[in-house]
Amino acid sequence: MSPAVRLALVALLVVGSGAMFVYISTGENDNAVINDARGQGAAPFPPTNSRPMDLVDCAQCAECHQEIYDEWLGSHHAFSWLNPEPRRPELSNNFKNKDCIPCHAPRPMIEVGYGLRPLERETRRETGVDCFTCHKYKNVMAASNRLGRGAAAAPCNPVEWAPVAEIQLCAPCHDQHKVQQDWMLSRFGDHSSATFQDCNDCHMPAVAGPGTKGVSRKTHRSHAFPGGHDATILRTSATLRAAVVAPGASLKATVASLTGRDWVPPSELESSDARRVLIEVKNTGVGHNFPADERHRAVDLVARSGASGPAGVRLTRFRNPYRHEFEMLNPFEGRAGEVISSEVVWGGRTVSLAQVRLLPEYNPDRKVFYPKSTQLHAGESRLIVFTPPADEKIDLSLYYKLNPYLPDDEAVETNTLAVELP
Amino acid sequence: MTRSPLLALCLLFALVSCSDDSAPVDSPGRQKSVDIVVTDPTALLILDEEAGLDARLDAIDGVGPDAPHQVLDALLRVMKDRSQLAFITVRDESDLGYHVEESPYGGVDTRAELRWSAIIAVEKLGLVEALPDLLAALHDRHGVVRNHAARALWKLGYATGLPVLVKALEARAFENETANRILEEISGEDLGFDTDAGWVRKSEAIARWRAWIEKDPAPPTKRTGFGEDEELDRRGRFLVAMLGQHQFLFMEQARRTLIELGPLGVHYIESVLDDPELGANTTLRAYSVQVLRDVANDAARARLRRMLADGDEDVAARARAADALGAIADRDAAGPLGEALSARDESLVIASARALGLIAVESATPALEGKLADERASARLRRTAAISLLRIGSSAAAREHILDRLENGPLHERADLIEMLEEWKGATHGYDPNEPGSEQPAAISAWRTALK
Repeated sequence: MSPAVRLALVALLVVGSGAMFVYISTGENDNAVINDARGQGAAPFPPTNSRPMDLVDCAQCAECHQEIYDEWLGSHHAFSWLNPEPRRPELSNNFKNKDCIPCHAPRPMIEVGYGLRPLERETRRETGVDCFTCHKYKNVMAASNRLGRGAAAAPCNPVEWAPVAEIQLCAPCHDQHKVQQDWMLSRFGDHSSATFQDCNDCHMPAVAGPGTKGVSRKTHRSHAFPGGHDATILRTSATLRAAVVAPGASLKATVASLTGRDWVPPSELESSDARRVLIEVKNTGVGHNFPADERHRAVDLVARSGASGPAGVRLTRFRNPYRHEFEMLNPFEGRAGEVISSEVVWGGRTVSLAQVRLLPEYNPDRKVFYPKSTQLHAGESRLIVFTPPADEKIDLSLYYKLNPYLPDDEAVETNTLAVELP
Repeated sequence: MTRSPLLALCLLFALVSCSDDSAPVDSPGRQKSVDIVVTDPTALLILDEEAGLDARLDAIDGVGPDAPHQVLDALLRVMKDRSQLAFITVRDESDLGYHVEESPYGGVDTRAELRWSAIIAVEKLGLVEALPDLLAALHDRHGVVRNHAARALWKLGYATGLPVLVKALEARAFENETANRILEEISGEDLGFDTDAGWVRKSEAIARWRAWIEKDPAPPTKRTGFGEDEELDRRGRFLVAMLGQHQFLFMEQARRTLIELGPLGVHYIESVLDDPELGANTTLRAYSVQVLRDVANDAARARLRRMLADGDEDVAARARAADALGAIADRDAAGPLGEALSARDESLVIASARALGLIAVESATPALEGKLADERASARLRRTAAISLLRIGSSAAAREHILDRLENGPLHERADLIEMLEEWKGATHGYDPNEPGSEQPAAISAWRTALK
């Protein structure tokens, strides 16, 4: 090898190493950014200038951003202060629990600092999480898009600042129960993966229209923020499948056929003289736990048949318990792949359920932030096997509930499936 | 020789990669958390959930003053339960020394004996650094654990647990017996409590114990002060750093413990606020204010006044300081609160206006009247100024403004205003913000009378 080539190789290695050093030391470690109480690693603040910015109300933004304003006006962000749900006595008690105010009427997040806990504002609380919450910094409004021609004269004094679209902006409120950290550990949070998707991909999807007056863009990011209050997006969250396991048939083979997963049941469960039903509930559409976010949420799997009556039988519940429910057990804790037995009363008969937690195929050994939670991690499955109490059709429903006390008829029915028993 | 640059680069790679492996999950510190691997056999046995209870209790009983720190950490860990804390602090090798994890100890309670045994061991060792954990154990779901935590705190110089012991006298047998025994032991008195006696006699004895507590008995041991125990100080500073965490549960737990630490908690807050790096966290500063407000000793009040007068851009913390000074009616804050009325940040102005009303600072009347009359000011500032003027004295303009907004204000303004009025007067006089004010003449009339 000639000295010149050798020198070139060494130089390449040094440059490459330096680049790797910078990458490892400073970049791509979202955990660090989100969890650092001082916001270390967060992007620098947007540039400011000497122009005054006299906007005092979000309605003023509609003059140039009518479509975006209308989307936001219909969102739960706009409703966060006036929404009667969090005002209920057992929750914020009309915000007499002042600890709730910072997320329901926050000061501009960029001013507080990325990754830090929000702080409440005293004014304009009725507009909830508004334009200023995400875009305002001192006398400017930060925009993640390239500015249009009219920006220089715009009363909002806009500046380009890409970090306004970063997840650290959402984290202080929405990572209260690790939803973003759960996402980071899923295939959706893997920057190097083709499946990478961040918060904005699902909760700020691109929609038609420029969004801003005088701009020629064909699309803009929706400010309707579809999520737990949006039945359409909820119905894309989970997959509900079922199969009938014929008497004497192999449960292992049925599981493989239904789910594509190689799970070996214990011998006493592998086959049975009775006809059984196998159900799989899988988090296929959510990049974080399902249900996610606040602990008020719950997802119930309910079975109905002639024997059960219209109320049905709740077979299982996916939920992160409230902190005061310290007596609650999570029978699945640390027992992935094991059979957990339980019973339900169905049409006057006791029906034994065998439930199994199948870890996600991607990053199965991921950190579990809430061992007491029965939420489904992204990509995780729950299998339920039982012998039905009667020879009749079973209707399965998956209900998404804004709080665990909500009756089924006030919940969003995200999935339904009819299981015919031959 | 030609390989040495390569070797050096490989070493560099290894070093950098290793130092980054310890991804911080819940450490607010400067460095990333590096878990400490437990190797001590006694510590391992104490923590071993699969080991027999007797073996674990024996291991706990055998812990002596020379036990290594891993064993002491194990004691502190088995003291925990989700009924005390949803999250636990775990020692690591980061600069702050700890990170937090969700408590794994929930479900049906089969560990109460372990917990109180660990507390007894901690008490026996005089382990001062356990102070935050013992305060948390006062909230344990099991009465005997709470009783022993109260005794251990007394031995460390804290009377905080005495009300817990007296409350336990009303509980079932065993719990009330241990409480009575501990009370007798620490007071040196027998006030006649007998668990087998009838309720009348027990109530009389409980009343005597209450009277004893009201005499404010002092523990024989001097409390450990700031700077006297390095480990305790490290844990205290970590709790303050947790106030800046964005996760509410972490912040809330840290806040509760710091409040219970009282003056010592104020020392920790001052120490962190004075740290140029840690103290620069806006959120940490703002949530520290709540601890200072609830402790409200002279040092806390002085710090709050300094924070309010702070001319920097940290207006969120200043606004909270103004609120806190109003809530504790600190008359020495009248001057800085009056000055804050002319601040640019309206949240600070509103908080100051509210505080001046709560403290009833008469000299603030002209400035508040100016805010009320300023039609460019936000509606919330004007109604806050109006209520403060009425708290200070009578003001026809303030009264008319409030009545006008009750009658003609939009829904959100009516809701906010009636909330403010209810907080002040303790009544709504039948006013329903969901109904237009013009349709509630009786309620408006009642408020007209109430505000006279």
